[in-house]
Formats: sequence, C-alpha cells, structure tokens
Amino acid sequence: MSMVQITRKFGDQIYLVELQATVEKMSETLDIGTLEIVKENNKKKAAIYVGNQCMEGVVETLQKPLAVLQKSRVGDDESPAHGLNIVSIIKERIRFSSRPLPVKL
Amino acid sequence: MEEDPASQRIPLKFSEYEEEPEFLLLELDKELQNIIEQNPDEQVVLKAGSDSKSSVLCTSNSTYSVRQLIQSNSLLLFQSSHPSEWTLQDSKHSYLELEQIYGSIIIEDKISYWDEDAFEKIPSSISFQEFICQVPASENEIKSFLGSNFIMKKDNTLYRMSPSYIMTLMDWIFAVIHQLRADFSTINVEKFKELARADEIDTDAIISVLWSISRTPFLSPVDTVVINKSLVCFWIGRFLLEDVITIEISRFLLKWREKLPENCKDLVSLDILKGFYFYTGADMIQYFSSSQLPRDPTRCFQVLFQAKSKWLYDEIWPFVETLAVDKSKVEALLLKYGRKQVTKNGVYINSRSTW
Repeated sequence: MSMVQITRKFGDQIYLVELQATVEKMSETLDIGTLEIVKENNKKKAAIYVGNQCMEGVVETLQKPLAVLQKSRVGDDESPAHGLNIVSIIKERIRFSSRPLPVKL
Repeated sequence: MEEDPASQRIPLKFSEYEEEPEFLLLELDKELQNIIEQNPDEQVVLKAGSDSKSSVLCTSNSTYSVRQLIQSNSLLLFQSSHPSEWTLQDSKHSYLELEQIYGSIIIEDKISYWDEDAFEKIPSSISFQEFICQVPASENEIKSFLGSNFIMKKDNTLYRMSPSYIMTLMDWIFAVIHQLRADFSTINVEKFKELARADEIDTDAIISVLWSISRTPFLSPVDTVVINKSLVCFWIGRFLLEDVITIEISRFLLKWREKLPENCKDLVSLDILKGFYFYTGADMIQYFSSSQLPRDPTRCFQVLFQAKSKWLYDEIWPFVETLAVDKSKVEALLLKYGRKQVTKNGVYINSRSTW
C-alpha cells in the first residue's frame, strides 16, 4: 500500500458543467460558445450556445460537494514522489439534461 | 458561484495550452468538507492498495473506502482565468465516491512476535511509521488498536506478544500491586518500570500491558495510569477461552474467576466476551473471534453460517456490526444474507440455503 498526502492548495475557482455530450476542438479557434445564466424566482436557469445549437439547463447545488484534486510533484530530484493538491471545491453544477436544439434565428 | 447579477453571459473557451492539467473529482461528505475547509492542519491521506478496490482515504480519525463511479455524462471543468471568461481545463466521465468504513487493521502478516526468551537476537519487524502507511485505516484508529492489543514498541519497531507472555506480565503486575498495597486507580509508571528492571523484566513489554489494560492512548507519555477492571476481566477471559477453544460454560466461568485478581471477580460474565465466542450447545461455547472474519460481507456471512446455520440475533450482531458504520446498513446486510425468524425463544438469523 502506498500513501499519498493530500494538501490544500486552493487556486482559481473551478466550475462544473455537466452535459450529455462531448466537447471537441475541431478548428484552430479556441472558442467553444457562450454560457448564459439567468436568475428567475430564486432559481438559476442556464443556457449554453455552441455554434447554431442551444441547450437549456439549471444551476443546482450539489448534495455532496466535489473536491478537485490535481497531482503534484513533491520531494527532490533524487527521491521524487507524488502528492495530491485540492485546488478547488465545487458546490454547484450547471446541468444540461436536454438534447441540443437549433438556435432560433 | 459568487453573488451575481440577474443574468450573466460567459464566453467559454478551450485552453490555449496543449497539455491540460489532469484533475480528479472527489465527492465529500459533511465531515470531510469541514476538515478540508476549516482545519488546514488536519492531515488527509490517500492510501492506494495494490488493486483499485482496496484504496482508502483517511483523516486522523476516519477511514473512507474509495470507489470510482463512471458515468456517461461529461463533467466539464472550467476555470475563470479572466473575469468574464471561462477556460475549459479538463473533461471527466467519472468521480471518486467515498463511504465511511471502519479501518481494517490486520497485524498477523506485518508485526512479528517478540521472543521474550531470546535475549541477544532481536527479531525484525515493522516500524510504527511503515505500519501507518501500509494499513488501510486512520492514524487514530491504528493507535487505538495498537494501544489496546498489547503491541509493544521497541526502538520505533512494533512487536506482538504471545498470550502466555502477556498473562505472565499481568500476573507480575498484580503481584506488585498487592505487594505495594496499591490500587488500580493510581499506578505509577516509573515505579513499575524501576521494579521491572530490578526483576529483569522488559520495561517496554510492561508498558504495553499497562497501556492495554488501562485505556491509555498509545505512545502517550503519562506518569500514572488507571487500570480498568473490565479490560482485565475481558483479556484474561479471552486468553483462557482462546486456549481451550471449546468448553462447558460453568467450567469456563469457574476457571476465569480463579485467574482474576480479587477486585475483578465480580465482573465475570459472558456478556464481556461477546464477539469472541458462540454457543455450540445449551451449555457449551466455542472461541471465535470477529477479527478472523473477512471484511467482505458475502464471505463474512459465509464463514458465520458455516460455523453454524442458526444464530440468535444478539449473538451474531457483534460479529457483523463493523461491516458498515451506518447501523441500518448492517441490518440490511443481515436480512440480505440471512433469514430472520421470530420465535418465543428469541429472534434468530438463519442461513439462506443458497450462496
């Protein structure tokens, strides 16, 4: 059994978007699309626009938060080892459960 | 997300770096979240077993089993490098789920016996730190186990002691208490070490016995200990039963009472040894330790029902109660692997016919 220390090294907040699709880079451009979040009656609705497609979703609080861990290198060159850093804690997710629809022009 | 205006439009971008950081997602319960956010000094470690199923995450007091849950949905992780722009850092299809469990501490393959008769040759064994690294349990669960199971620490190395050696040392301790006209509540550790040296008895061994019969935390440097009569009664009863394996109840209780110091005799009761025996007949018991049972519920119940096919509910409970931290889950396991039968003589858990 090997033991790895988990240390806290919080950086920029990380956001979680969950969708029933994969996102692939098809061209040189770095643009993916646009995320829109609208507050309505104490709820937050979300929409994601990618190309000429749109998906609707919600922002919801996670029942159990997710810690985001990243591998780190510890020790020196003579005896290198690996550690894990907790870089962020995610308490909400933006969930898209519907299929993409064409954007109405 | 931070307090935000009524609506936000956030451009989403791929990262311009070829090599993206690889993240792991770990689900947190309330206790763990609190430790990570509020207690920066508390150690959290991941102990990875040789197979992916045996990894555990440990805080100082708790142990969690780690399981990877794969899902078909994409979990996209964005980072806000610019105030109004999110950059995709990683895309996951799984996360690690945690379930709190009791740490599994098995010493047989790790800690060697101390040979009390071999004065020159010191047996090799495992160091305390190595043991902490190798055992899938939290540090405090490990210390509690070591401190209450007669594990001796000699020059940072851990050793087990044989039941006969432990009984010899306990007899010596009670003889000294009697000689000094002391009582169990004020045992001066230095005095006992001094007397042990004079009688050429290993002081580390004496310390180990005193710690195990007094609820003193492992490795704590205390000046006095309070010997716990229930623990004395328990250990002597357990060692006696372990030695005979099967015995008639009335004979065992007599033997047990004879072996105890005077102030512990009233505590003799089979209730103290629950989880270390089962009834083989109306008047007979057989030694059977819960520590011998597999941790996997299926195999655990298989072994129990091979020992006997019909158990009283109160009798089987001590053998299965550590299968889950949540008692309702233990109940569910009893009903999954056994068949509950309510009779005028009590509640029984019977073996199901097929496995």
